[in-house]
Amino acid sequence: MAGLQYDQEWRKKEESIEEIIKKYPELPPIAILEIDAHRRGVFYTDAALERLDDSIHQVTEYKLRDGTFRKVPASLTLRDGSHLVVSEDTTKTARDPYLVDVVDNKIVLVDQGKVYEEVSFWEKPKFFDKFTSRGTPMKNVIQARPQRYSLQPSKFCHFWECAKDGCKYCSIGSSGVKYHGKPDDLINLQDVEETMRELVKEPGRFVGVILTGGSILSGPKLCEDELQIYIDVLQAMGTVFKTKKWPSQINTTAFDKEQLQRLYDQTGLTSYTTDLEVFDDELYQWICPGKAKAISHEEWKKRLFDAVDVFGKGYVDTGLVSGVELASPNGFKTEAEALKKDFETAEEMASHGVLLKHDIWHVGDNSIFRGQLNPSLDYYVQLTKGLYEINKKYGLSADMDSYRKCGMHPNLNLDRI
Amino acid sequence: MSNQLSKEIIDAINNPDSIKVVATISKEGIPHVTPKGSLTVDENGRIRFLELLEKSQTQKNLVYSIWFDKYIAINIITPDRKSYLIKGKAYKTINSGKEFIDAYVAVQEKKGKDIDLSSIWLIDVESTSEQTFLARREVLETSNPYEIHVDRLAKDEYRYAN
Repeated sequence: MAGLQYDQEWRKKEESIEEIIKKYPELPPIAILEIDAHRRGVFYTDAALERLDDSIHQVTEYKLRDGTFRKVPASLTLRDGSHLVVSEDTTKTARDPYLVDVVDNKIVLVDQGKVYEEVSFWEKPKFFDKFTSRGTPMKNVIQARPQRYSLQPSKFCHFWECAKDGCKYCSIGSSGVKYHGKPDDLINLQDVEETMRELVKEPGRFVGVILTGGSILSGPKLCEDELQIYIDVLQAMGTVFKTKKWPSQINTTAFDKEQLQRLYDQTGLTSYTTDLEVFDDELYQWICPGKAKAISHEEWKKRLFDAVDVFGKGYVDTGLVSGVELASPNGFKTEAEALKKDFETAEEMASHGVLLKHDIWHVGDNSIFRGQLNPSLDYYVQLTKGLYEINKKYGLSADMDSYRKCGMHPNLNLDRI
Repeated sequence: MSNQLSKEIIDAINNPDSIKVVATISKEGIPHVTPKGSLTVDENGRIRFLELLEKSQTQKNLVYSIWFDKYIAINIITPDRKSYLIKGKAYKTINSGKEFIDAYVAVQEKKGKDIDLSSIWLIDVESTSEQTFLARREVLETSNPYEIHVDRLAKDEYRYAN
């Protein structure tokens, strides 16, 4: 598998974080650091790993090339209460990652010997150490970030039925192929109910949930089976709540209006996401060929507008995988061209009440785009600032997908002051 | 590193009968003042208090302080009317993990199960001063002896003459 080639000269080819902080004084330096850490990834020193206690912290284990396993923190929280969503194994990069080290008895983010920020490891919820009556570890049923829990109703993505149809940046889709036709592809509803009952026992732990998984195209009409699974899972979750609606978000394939209405009427769901992923039609067809065959770019947008009619303004959002529109060989040739198109589509979406967000492109080793390089920090800061301003211009609140409920969307994380 | 608070000020802050208010500014520069009964001093000498509402103006202004290194001010008035001013900056907010959950449970035990907690805030203290009127008058009149109405300097025979 072709991995990323480390580029020793990368610092000479782009502006440093100090230069970018100086260039954009209207953005908090901590938010720029967060973007850069997402872009470049992190690596834990031995001193940092000595602070890791798996009786307290959430831990991720991944396999090294020599076959041994390395145990690292799931991720990090910053002093302003926002969360980095980066893990060593998924953020291999051609640039140097930030080091997570211990200096003056504090866990800190370091680059070239300079301490940038104090950080802390994510703590795990109590239900993580429990099992359902079927023997399933509850942490395999529901995953957690510091203030948000998540479920994956389906692991296999139908766009990967034929490998060339998979989204070219997607590592999750490619690793989900092993679940194709397996009994554990779909989440078990009894496990969901039992885990939810444990989850709500812990006070002050969560403010929201997201459900997302592989696309399911089958059924009497497109995505009908996917819709039904989400309805079933949401209804199973809803058994623990006393209110009809409870803070929740799903991120699915774009459902049509009749499907969206059923979803809203039959469940406790409060907000809806379906990611356009690429804000240019031609590039969408190249980068997401399976999606484009099933639902055109124009139809995907229309379904988002319909979702606003059903869920309300401020309760529907869409995102792009930021940077993939610059992938070679067919992507935009300059960052300026890419941003121009991104903002053009963003304006169109926001004018229909759709909240905008972006996820920084991690170039996964098992994605079709492996070996490519994500854009400069300057591009990411411009995109973050631009999308933040467009959301503000159209009066779109970030609450449904805020720093508490996700953490991976830098422009939404800015909506706190 | 937080400035060292005197024992007198720590006692004033930790006295539950003291009145404690926090003043912050918004990104537009608009001041906002709010009482904070939960205000205490933590083991590292930082001011610690709770913000119950995620969408409150104080919460927004504290985020503004931590993001852009802006000052906040705190005033403590003791039951015997002594007043202390503390200036500082937001150092950290805690909104998850054991420390947060313990505070969340404590808030609900005190105020009822329908009360939420958004964040714990820690403030780095940069300076303190006593603002009790008599203490401030002594300091200011000593350092500015001629900022005074002249009748106060006049001889009594003239000042109180009919």
